[in-house]
Amino acid sequence: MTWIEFRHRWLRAALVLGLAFGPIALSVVPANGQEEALPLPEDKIVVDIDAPDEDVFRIGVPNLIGKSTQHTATGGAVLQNDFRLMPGFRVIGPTSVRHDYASLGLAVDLGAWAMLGANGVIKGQVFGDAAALSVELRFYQSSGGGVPVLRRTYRGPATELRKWMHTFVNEVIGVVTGTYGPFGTEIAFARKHRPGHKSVYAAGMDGYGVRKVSSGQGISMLPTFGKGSIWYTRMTKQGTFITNTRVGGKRVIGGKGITMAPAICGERMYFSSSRSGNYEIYSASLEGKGLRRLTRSRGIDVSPTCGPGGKLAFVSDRHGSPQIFAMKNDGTNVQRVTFRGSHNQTPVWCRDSKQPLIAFSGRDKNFDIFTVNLETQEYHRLTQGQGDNKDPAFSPDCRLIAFSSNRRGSPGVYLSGQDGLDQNQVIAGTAETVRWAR
Amino acid sequence: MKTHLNSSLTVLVCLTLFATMLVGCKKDAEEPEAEDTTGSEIPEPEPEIAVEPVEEPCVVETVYFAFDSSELDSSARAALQEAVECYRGQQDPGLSLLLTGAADPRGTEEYNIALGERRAQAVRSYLVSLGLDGSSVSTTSVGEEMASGTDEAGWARDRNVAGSEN
Repeated sequence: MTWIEFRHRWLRAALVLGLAFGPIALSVVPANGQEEALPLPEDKIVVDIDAPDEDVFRIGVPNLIGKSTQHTATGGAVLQNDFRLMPGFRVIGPTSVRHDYASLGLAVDLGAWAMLGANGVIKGQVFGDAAALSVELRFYQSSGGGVPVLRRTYRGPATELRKWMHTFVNEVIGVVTGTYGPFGTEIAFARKHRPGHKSVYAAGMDGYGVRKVSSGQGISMLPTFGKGSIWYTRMTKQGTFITNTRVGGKRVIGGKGITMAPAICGERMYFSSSRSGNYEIYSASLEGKGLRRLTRSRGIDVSPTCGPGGKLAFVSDRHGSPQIFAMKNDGTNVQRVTFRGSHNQTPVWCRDSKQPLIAFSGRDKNFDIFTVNLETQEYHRLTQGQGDNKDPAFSPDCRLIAFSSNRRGSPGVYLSGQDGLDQNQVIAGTAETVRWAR
Repeated sequence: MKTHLNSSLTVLVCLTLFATMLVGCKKDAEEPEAEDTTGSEIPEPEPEIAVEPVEEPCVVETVYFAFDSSELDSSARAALQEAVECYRGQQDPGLSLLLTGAADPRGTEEYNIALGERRAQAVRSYLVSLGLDGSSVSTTSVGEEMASGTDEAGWARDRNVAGSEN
């Protein structure tokens, strides 16, 4: 059993005891026909303070060794920050180390680190200059007898330094947990500057390198990744249509009514449109051809998102209030997914078929982030009592969930583990509709 | 000889007279035209023209909605009835109306766009039920994109449908 498997078993037991939901296909339909769903669960995570501190992997990450202080500092900071963001890991940083780690070069004094509680240590050394940098990295586990379980050398320009660090972190996470990590991937989000003015931005998942990617003035919103491009929706005087970064903001598909919020699943896009007079889900080729209508309900159908096995999740209020539904990508086999809460929106589907999870925004007093297990109907609340938290996005491995929050004093994009623990802000400032590149 | 002299004099007189006429004409052409100084003059009364009375344009007042609702309240219905009566009173309404629905910022972007349009469609349906030509009334939505409210009063203003000439 890896460290993380151990941690998840313990946490799962605590959560199930604390939440005590049981099967939930329990919507109540009173005589007046109006549906009255059970409320969303409260945040009742039980943390056993007497439990052993073995649910996290404590990793020593000193600064890198080398003459180029700029690169040693940057490399060390990226490693430390990645592990700070990763659920199941705790960083023992350079300020915790009292002995002269540099004198050992790439070797390690595991005994000294063990006294700090480290389960593993990363050592690294930087050679060369910005034009021709070389970085050697070692990962030691406390049980490894001083022999590195992972050693890598990266060579190239210094502009690649952050990417190398992310790659090594992902490999270390793979060694510890059995699954490669998500670092180095990108997120996108929209930011409202003022009424009528909104732009789409992209950044590393650690919040590094925030840049505007949408074209034109006015309103650009609802981004998503697909086929090497970032797709988004533009609201203009000439209409509301779907575009992407490759075509520089020009219309890929629009038409009568509003056409918005694409999800790129394989070779087709799925989106919502009011062209029939009501909001329905449609699909089209990535060139905007071959339009197919997938839903035919009297309610609002919006927010399609890609699922595993050719499935889609979407939002519909066909039963009275907005809830999460799923269907095949040809519009057949429509099934309701959420049965708790009265306003569940913006679903995102974990693409790991071993984890049948959909995360969504559920409104209680405010919007908060929830997940629902499609097989067990277990609901988990990730946020509570900190403003509006909405628009979740799973990391490619589903271990992290990004979301936007307007929590007082510190709005921005946050990352969280599936259990709601380890929440960290990665991008400060107003943010909406976070999406994660796959 | 005398006859010849007389003939020459006659020609000279004629040429002189002709030249005088020409100079006189040129002088007239070079004179600036008198400025139209009407300040001290009494203008001639303009002929009476039959002007059709200008109709005041009908206005569909902005109507407001409750939270997460697209139902029209009594004040909204009254405002829309007034608009329809105005259109009825016009000889040629030339109606081409765009109804734009909007939502407050406390929702998700996609759903709020759909909710805004549902509100605009509710207004359109009511106008049509009162006799307005549905083919000349279209709807759209800006969702929460124009919302500026930060409290209950502001959010109440954000939840609206506004009419404009299409």
